[in-house]
Amino acid sequence: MATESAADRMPAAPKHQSIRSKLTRIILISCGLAVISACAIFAIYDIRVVRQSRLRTVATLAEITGTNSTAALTFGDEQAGRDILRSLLADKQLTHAAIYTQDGKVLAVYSRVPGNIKFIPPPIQADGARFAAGKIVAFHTVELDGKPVGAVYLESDLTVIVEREEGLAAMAGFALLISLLLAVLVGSRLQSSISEPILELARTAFAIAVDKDYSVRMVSKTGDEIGFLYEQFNAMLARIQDRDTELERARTELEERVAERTAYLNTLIETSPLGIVAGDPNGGIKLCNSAFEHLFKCVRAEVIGVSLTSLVTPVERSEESAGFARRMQAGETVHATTQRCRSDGTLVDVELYCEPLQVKGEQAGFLVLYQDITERKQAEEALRSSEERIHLLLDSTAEAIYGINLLGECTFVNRACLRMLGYHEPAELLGKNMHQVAHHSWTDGSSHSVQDCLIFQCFRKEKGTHDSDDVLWRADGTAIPVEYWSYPVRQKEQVVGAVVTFLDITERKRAEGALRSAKEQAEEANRAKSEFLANMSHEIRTPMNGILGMTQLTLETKLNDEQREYLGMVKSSADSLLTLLNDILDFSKIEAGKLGLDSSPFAPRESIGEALKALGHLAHRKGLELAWHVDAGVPTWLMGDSGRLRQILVNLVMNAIKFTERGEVVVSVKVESKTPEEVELHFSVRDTGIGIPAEKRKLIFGAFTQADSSTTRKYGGTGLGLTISQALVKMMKGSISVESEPRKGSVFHFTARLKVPEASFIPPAAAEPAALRGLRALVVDDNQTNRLILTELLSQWGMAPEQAASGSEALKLLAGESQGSAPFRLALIDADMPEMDGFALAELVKNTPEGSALNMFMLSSTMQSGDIARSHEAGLAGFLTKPVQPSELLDAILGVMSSTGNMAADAEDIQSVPQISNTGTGMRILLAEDNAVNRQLARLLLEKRGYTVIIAKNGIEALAAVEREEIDMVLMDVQMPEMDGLEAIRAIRSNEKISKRHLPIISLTAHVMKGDREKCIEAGADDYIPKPIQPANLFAAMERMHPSERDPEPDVAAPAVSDSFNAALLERVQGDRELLAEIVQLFESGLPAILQGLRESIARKEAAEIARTAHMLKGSVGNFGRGSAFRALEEMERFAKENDMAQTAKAFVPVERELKELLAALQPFRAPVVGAVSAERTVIS
Amino acid sequence: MPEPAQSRANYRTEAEDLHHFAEFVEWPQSANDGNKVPTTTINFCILGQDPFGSSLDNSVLGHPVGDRKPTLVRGKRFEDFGECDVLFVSSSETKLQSRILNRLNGSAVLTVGETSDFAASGGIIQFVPESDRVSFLINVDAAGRAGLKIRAALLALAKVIHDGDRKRSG
Repeated sequence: MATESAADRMPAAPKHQSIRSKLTRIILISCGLAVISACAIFAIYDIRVVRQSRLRTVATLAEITGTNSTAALTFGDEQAGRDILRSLLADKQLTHAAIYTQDGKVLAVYSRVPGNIKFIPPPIQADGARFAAGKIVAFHTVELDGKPVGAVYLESDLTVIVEREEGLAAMAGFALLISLLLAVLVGSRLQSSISEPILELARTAFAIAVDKDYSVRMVSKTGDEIGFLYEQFNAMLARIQDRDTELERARTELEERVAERTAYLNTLIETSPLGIVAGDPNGGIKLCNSAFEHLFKCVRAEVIGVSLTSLVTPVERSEESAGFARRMQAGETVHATTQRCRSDGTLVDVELYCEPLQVKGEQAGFLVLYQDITERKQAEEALRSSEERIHLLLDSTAEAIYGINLLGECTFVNRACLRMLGYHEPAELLGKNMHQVAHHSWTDGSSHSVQDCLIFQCFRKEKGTHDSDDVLWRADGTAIPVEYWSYPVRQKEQVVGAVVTFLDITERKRAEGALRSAKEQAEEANRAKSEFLANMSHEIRTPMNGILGMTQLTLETKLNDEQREYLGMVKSSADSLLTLLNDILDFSKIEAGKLGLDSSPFAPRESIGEALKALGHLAHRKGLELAWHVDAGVPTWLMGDSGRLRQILVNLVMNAIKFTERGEVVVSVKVESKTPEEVELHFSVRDTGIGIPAEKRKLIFGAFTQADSSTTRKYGGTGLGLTISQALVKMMKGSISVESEPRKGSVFHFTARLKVPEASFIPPAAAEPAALRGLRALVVDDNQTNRLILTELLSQWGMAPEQAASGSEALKLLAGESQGSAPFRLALIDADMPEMDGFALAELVKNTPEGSALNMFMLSSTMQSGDIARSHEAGLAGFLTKPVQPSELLDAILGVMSSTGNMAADAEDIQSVPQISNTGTGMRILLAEDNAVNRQLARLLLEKRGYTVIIAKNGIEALAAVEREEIDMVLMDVQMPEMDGLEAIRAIRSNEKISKRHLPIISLTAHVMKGDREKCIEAGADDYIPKPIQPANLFAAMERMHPSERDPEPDVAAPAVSDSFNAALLERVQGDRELLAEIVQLFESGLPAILQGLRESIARKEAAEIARTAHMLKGSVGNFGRGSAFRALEEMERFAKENDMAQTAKAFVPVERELKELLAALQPFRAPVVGAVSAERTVIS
Repeated sequence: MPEPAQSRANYRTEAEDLHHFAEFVEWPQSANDGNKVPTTTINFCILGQDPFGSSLDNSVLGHPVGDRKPTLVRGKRFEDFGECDVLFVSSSETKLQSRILNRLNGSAVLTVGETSDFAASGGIIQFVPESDRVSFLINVDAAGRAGLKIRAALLALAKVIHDGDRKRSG
């Protein structure tokens, strides 16, 4: 801009036209010359090149044509020659051509314009092309393999060259014209690039001179001499400008600094929240800030110069103000809290600082700072009133409240607290250690340490504590029961104390006490009720005992049908009554929560079997089938209350039988779940009875309910059975449920959890699997230790194991058996053996004759997929993984043995025998019983079984009898006058310590509450039976006791019976001697033929026939109750079944002998009966 | 359809052509039993009745083909010849023509014939007499089998046929 404006004012530009035109002229001349000479040189060269090129082209064409026409010339083919020449048409400038033969004759001619001009080819000349008279001519000799065969002639005009020369001339002229034009244009441009910068410099220098603006710079566009001139000019300007700028900046900076400082101070004063005012030494206001204006509601402009004192000092404070002024005069700073008045006359609370100002040692005025303290004053007021409210609140609440600091010193206390603790004024407690004042001791007066104090603990825990039952101590030294809460008080996250609130709980305590004593009374009443029930049951049982027993006895005497029927009714009524009684007792025990469960080892299979066998008769009487199935997975031994378990099962089965008219009742037992410690058994009882309608299904488990009250009338029953069962199941941690379809039947399910006996538990000897005794077994294992363990185990179970260390050895042993020795029944085979593995062995054995009867178990330490399937294929009885638990093995063996009918003895045979085995032996039984009826009943029962009975009416008599007489067994009633049964048992046992003998004692008690049994056993009884005495119970207990004393090897199958042979025999026929005689005669007459048949069968080795005969004979002998003969036959039957002819033959010897003895023993019964009395005598003596 | 030898005015030209053919043909290096020494002669064989007469002797003898000195043998039977480089089969041998050509199949012999189906039957060059000149057919497949290279210039003059092309002229 500056430059432009300067240029405008610049004087007329110096003459420079001369330079410009000079430059233009130079450019034009040099440019024109250059173009003309360049064009000329180029044209000459080009024409030369074109002519040479054309010459070469024609020569080349002649050569090509020559080569092409070699064959045509050789063969003298004119046509071919013409064809070749015709191809020259392509070159427009070739006018004529010819081919000559070697001898100079023309073979073919070509003319561009045929026929127009007669073309006569010239004579042959030397090879090559040349210019000649405005045309080019070319000759070329044609050769074949180096020999000339002819020549070619070509003629071309020069039109192309001429045209080209003309074109070049035109081009040169045009180029000259263009270049001159360009030279003028560019030249004018270029000359300005030299003249313009010089003019520019001149203009700029002038402008600077005028404007004094040194910031102007020349812009250099070139790096030449003019550019250098510009640079130097610019550098000079820059130095001048720098100095100018420096001066300017120094001045501005100074001004800014002053302004800044002033603004800063003003801001300081202005933004201060304090009202600031400065005055002159005379007291006039010099300046004030907005806070001052605001505080005193005045306007700055109006107060400047006004006396401060007159402005803000209220009249009543003028004295004080004068005082401040004096103090300031003395150079003192005044600080005070006072009141000042605003311009509107209102007063304001202020805190003020008055400062005298001194400048260079002279009094220069004063400075006063005011702070408005109205809010502070108000807050103090509010705080005061708030505190008063809190105090009021605390004082008016019924709860006692006090505060403590960390030292436990009372910081505040409310009126309720004072009242409860028996004080009058807060001062009595404030600052006192509250723990020492009111919390120093426990209820019982013992010292309550601070460490135990829950109130103090709230400091440590930093959260509220609470005690619902403690005492606090009053001023008068008495204690009050309290419930208290202690909450920590925090200040800035730090616990600084606690607030304690408490309640007087004297009333509550009293109420609790009343409640407790009420509960105790209730419990006492309940105890009394239970006691009463127990006693009642005893009182009822005693006469029931009489009724049942006597009815039983009467039934066993001679009666006519009518009497028997009536008595049967009496008995069944009494039985029902007893059942009802038991049910009610159980129920009341359940209600009272007094029913306990026993936990002792038992064998579930046997236990269930026994219970169901007893019910079998009941079912058969109704024409029903009762079947049961215990799954193989159910362990042989379990821990639990087998009696109660049976009770549940019996109850359900009884119901099933009761409500089923035809069909069957099926019980099945299986394992529901299993842990190492526990087994959950699942029982189901299915019937084909009347069923239960859906709406009744839930009701039936309730007390005193059956599906229909009409059912009760029809089927009888207390309706307590299911309730009791449900309670028992619940106690066994199981559940009970029912599925039913009316008229189709019902299924009752229940589960029970039973403990698995500890590993150390050894089943009682009696439970030893007798069925396995003597069985031959084969253990096949390559490992000797394994063989030893298994052999040992099998031996323990009474089996006769043998060992084989390999498959081949096993095969040898098995093959050996067919030659006489007893067959193997069992083989335990190791799966992994070298040479021949277990499966291979099993396959081989399976196909041998002896293999079919062999039960093979595969034992493997690694269960591989497919092993089980292979086991089945190999015909194995089972697959067990090693190490094999003894119980597992036993279960497996028993499971297979029973299922394959290989048991040593038939279950049915065992069952048939005990009927005749419960027979007295002339043993001397001491019966201690105070109740005459019961005594009589028991005595008759025992004597009928052939026992000699000694009577005692109480414990003392019993003791005396034991001392005095030879006693084999004692039946001891527990409840007796003078000395009760338990005491008597203890006395007997203590005497035995000297005599070193053990008298079997069975205690009889009507107390069937849990614990009675324990009491009896504790006292020394061997067993215990409940009253009323059921003959079966009694004799079963006696059986348990009795054989173990006489027979070290108890045999369930055939207990010794021969001694009481006669009595048993008679009982068998209900004392009908005539019938007996007939039977005996029948047996006697048939026997010789049977024996003969046996002998022959043995000779012919007809094992099956022998087994059949022996079995039949065994049944007959069983009728006579001859144990030894029975056993001999049994043994023979077994050997026969095992196809062991040698042993069978041997066993026949004792059979014959025993049968002979039996015949002799039966002799007395053959003859006609002499007299019943004499016979009775025989029995008893 | 053999014509009487003397009735053909073209035979003198054909005799020269026969010699010229050799000039435009290249024999394989190892022709004639793979002899590595370059052959120095070129044998012209005329089988059957010679239609050329003395003109053949004039055209061939004394006119070396490249470096090779020509020889000329006339024979009635094919077996009469030793080595042949150029074999002319006269029209008198029409009946035996195909047998001869079969026997020669693959040999480096330039066969020339005058019967109308010579080239089509496997001969290499067949003369085709025309009113004013003698043109010829060349069976390039037959030449290829014989391992002979025929110069393009000769092929340009001739009518080129392939095996199996039925004769179209004569």
